[in-house]
Amino acid sequence: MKNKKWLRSVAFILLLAVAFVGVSQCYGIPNSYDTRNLAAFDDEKEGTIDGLVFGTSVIGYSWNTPAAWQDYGMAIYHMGTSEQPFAVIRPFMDYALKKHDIKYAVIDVHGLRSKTVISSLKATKVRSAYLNFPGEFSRFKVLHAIFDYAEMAFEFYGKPKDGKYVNLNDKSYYLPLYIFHSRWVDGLKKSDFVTVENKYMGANDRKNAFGVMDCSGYLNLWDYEITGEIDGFQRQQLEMLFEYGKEKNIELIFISLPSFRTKDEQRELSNLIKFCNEQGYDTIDFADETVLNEAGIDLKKDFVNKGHLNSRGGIKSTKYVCEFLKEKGYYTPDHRGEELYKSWNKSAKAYFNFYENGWKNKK
Amino acid sequence: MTLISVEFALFWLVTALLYFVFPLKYRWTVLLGSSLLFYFWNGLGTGYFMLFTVAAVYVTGLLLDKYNNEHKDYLKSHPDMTRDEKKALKQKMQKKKRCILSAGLVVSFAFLVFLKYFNFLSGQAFSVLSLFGVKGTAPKIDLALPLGISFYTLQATSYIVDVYRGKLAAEKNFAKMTLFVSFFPQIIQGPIGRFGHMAPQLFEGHRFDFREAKFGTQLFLWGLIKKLTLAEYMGIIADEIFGNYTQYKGLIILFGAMVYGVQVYADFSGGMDMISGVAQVFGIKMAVNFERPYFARSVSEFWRRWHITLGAWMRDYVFYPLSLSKAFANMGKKTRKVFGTYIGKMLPTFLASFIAFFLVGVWHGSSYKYVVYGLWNSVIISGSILLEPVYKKIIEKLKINTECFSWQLFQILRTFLLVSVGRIFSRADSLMISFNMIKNMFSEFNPWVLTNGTLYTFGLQPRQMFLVFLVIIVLFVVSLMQEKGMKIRESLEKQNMLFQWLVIIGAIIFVAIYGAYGDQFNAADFVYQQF
Repeated sequence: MKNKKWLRSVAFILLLAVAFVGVSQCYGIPNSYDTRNLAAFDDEKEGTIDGLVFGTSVIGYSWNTPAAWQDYGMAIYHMGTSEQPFAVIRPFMDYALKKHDIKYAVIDVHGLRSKTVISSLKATKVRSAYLNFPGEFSRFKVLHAIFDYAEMAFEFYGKPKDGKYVNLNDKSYYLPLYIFHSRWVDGLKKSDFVTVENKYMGANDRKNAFGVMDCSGYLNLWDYEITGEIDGFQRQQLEMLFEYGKEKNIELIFISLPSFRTKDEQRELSNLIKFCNEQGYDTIDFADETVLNEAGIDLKKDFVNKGHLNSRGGIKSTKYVCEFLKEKGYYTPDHRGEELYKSWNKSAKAYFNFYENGWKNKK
Repeated sequence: MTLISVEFALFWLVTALLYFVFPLKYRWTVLLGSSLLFYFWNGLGTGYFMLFTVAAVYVTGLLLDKYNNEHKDYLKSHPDMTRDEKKALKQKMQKKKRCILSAGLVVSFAFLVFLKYFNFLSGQAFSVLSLFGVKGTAPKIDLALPLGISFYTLQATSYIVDVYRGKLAAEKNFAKMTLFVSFFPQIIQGPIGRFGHMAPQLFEGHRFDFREAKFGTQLFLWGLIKKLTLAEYMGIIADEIFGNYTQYKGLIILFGAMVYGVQVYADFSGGMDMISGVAQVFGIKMAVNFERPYFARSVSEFWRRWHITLGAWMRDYVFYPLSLSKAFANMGKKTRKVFGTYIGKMLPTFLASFIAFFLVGVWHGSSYKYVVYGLWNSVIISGSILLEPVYKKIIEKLKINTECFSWQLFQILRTFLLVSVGRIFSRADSLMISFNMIKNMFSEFNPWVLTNGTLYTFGLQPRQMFLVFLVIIVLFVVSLMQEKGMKIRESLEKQNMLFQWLVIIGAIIFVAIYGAYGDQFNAADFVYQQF
């Protein structure tokens, strides 16, 4: 009789846990353009991905996986998120390595700009990055990496006082329902119940994918001398990443994709690229006019706003990076036609239909 | 560590595990350890005040007990004493005991008065002195109020009065005395326990009882629902109306007062349910503090159903000792000659009630508004007793059937209304503001605010209003069933297991989704925790 009661209790707790997890899934962070590629990572078949791309929204606009696939057959997965904390790169790679033989990672350095380091530690950005991470338990590894990173960053740059930033003691990170349950007031939507759809492999299909802003007037922002050095925090983070790459045998390529910041900020980005280059890593700095011209990016037509390329510009920058990877001899076999990559063909086809229709309708 | 926190849940779980693992005889030490840990966790600096109070009542109890025993032993060893000799001995002992009791009470209450009322009293004293041209700044103490000081002081002093009265033998074990005063669930906001009721339960080890643990957890959950899905939402409306009272008139003020009434009930009784639930898991039954007060048909009945342990404390240690004292009896005799038999007979009772309610008001806080809050209740109760013959005559003349439902409903609503108006004094920021609010309440007759969407402008969205309405309905139905004598948890236990599970899991998920907690809400502490 006593055992029966205990068994019943265990069954009750299990049932409660199932109900709780179910509800937590519905009341998680809403899906967005920035995160669904991350959330859908597990949909990829084992051993199919060769390279990864990391970065902030800059990469979200400037990297186009379907373009890399359609023209080069490169299997590169986009794992960037809006204002992605730089700290997530290593645990993300760890997770990817469980299923794939990752050979290289292309990392945009915008996330390591001192200003972005702090803004990437806003609670919303942190939640967005780790809650959409596919592995239920690996999420905690991501979270702890962010916490360590935040501790170091706050110590180095100081913690802003406006209360929007990640609180290292906040247990609600482990229980998203704590934060997101109040969404019941707005009502749940279909997207809260159905699986994340990533039909374009994270390529830019935002509402403003076909927007155009003439940024030629900002060209002077790229006209500066690369002087000074990166700060201690940036150096520490990069060195940790270099170490990781060596340990896991993953080659790292550092890039700074096109965006117009202030001259000081641009200089900071170029310094980051310069440092990586000095350490022997391949780099691309799109603030270099030669690179920009080689990529064929039209400042009048290929930007959607000062900080981001539109979908046309994104394809151009992607192709430039792909050419660069090929030229430098990275492991970039053409997987087109292989049985395992059927879904990639489908996604690329769907994206280019969307892309062409979008620009056609724009005209 | 608040009652609604992951830390507390873990603390509760670990304490329960340790409690049931320890040998039966020493299980009370687990409660003591946990209680001290809980107390000092919540305020290391102020914890010593609680220990001082324990020491004071402990020593007082021992001294009183010594005289009680001496008295008994003397009577035993002198069986041939005359009645007068016995009386003289009793008086002599009483005198000594009274001195000890007074000292014990003074020391115990000194901490409360000093920490809770010093700033107020010194401010008032300097205001008076300034009228006589004395200049200066009132001295202030800047110390956090020890957790539960208003509750544990009353609990501790009830013990020494009971020892003084010979109802209890003094507790010889200081550690056990400490546990009685600091028992961790009840230290937060009561109930104000009595030694005779709590001590045997606390000190005697309880074996794990699955049913008690289940019932305790269910009660905790019910309290959580009251607190998070009703009190917190009602608090948003009450905060808006009381915080911006100048913008509101007429029925909105009354609505705000009623909403605050529901808030404070859901908050306090919810907290009590949680506390009782925690204790029940250890096999300890706390004193009942609420018996559906909003079903009361008079304000005096309301106070027999609301914060019962405070009312009982005032009754046993203030009201009866005063109203039955020689001084009051003499006063009654004298006033009978002046005001007639009825008023003369009632006056000592009214005065005792007046003092008790004054103390109830003052107990809530150091502000004139609380004094008026207490006196409002006293005046209503005394007035209704005084006017009872008049009411009877009116009822007879109008041939009102007082046994029917409609009359009882009228009485319930009338009581709710009177209590709600009284709440304005306790909730408003100051006495002047409460008077202004009452003035504003009568300055405009605006019943349309109930239907023109105004109710949605106080901070709750329509869906939240609907939720609150739903929870009130559930609370009402449950209260009605309890009022009819139904035992909810026992009844649920008789249902099919699947149904039971659905109800409990449904309730947990309900509170997890609809509870006002997390970043979007500034979930407040319990209202009564601040007293």
